[in-house]
Amino acid sequence: MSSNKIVLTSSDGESFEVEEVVARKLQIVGHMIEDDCVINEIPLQNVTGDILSMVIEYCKTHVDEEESEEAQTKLKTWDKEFMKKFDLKTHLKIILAANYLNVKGLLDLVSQTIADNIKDYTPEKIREVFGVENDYTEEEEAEVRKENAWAFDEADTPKP
Amino acid sequence: MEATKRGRVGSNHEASPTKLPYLPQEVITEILLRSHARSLGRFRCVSKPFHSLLSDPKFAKKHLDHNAVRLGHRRLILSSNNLFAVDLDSIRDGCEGLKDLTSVELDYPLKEDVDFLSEVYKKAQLKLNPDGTYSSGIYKKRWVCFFGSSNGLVCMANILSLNDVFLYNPTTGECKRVPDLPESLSSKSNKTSFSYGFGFDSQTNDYKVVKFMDGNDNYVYSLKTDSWRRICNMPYKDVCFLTSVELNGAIHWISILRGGETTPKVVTAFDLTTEKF
Repeated sequence: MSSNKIVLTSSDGESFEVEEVVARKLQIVGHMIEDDCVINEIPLQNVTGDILSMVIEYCKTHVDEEESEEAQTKLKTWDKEFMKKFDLKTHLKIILAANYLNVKGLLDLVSQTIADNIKDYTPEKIREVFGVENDYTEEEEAEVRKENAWAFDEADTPKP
Repeated sequence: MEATKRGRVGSNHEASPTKLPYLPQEVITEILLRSHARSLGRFRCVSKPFHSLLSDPKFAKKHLDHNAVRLGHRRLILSSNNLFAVDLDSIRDGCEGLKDLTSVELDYPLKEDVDFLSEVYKKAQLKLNPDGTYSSGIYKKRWVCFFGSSNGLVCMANILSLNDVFLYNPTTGECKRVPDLPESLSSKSNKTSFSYGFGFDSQTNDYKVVKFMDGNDNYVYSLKTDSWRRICNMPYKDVCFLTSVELNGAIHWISILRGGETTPKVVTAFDLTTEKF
């Protein structure tokens, strides 16, 4: 593998020098390299420096994905710990970055993390997280809640 | 109608100082594809667009693909005339020594059917309890016969009338009665001895029920078209176990080899895509 260095620049002007193999984990960068644009510095408009540094940390750790079970288990543990460091708001920022930069593994990881963290949320809380407007009438909402009563249990009813 | 609509825009989401980033629909979908089935039921109540996405069969298929490889909440369905569920993870966690498992009786369809109960009581008195006494507890619930399951769906029938076949989703409680075999299809009447098999055809994304009748008269039901079709003969004499197992796109049963005196048992497989044995 080439040990070329590539500089990634965030939307707020922070620069990160990384090895080409690491930068290629960002498929958006990988495509630029394959398109034969000889570039040393790549501006990434939609990501801020703090989030980009997290994405790079992920890519560095996952740069040589070993097949062995031991290595896989180790990576899984690292992934878990890595995700635990951040709150929901940061997770949402990471998922946007992973989607824009096209880092498949990170997109999987952070999607699953968010899904697990919001699994017990009420519809009200979900509207808040995803910025969704409730377009049900009161009657319609009561009806759809009745249909899906199996998905609610005692834990979901608001505590006094 | 307009007056009853509740606008939630401008609530704490927008006013909050820790404003959350806006996610495009494709990213929200990625998260929902990895969510638990129970959560999705609750998220249907979020809004109409959420409801239509989460009720879409295409979404259900993708969700299944995502979760098939992952260990989610898994349940073991036990049948002993009634249906019970055991949390599979509780078995895995308790590897050391014996452990009591908690089973939950499921709210399967027809579990409590008052009209039917009196009928069963009569039959029970006559047939099952020759001494004339019967415990009133036994027949409180309608009994069902379990035929097989696939992707978390269960195929079952009324134990006293095997023509009443149901597909049941133990997670959502949804249930569908499979229509009777149309008379135009079943040539010979008064056949009583049958068994069923149940599985998922991943080529057409369709659930299928196979029905065996006396004299090697076999039919397949497709959930997608909601209809029955006659299919080819089975090369063996009879299916001797009621429950089927789905593996690699085929339904498997233990069957009795045709002819011969010792009635050796063989495994019969039915390919769900080609619909051949």
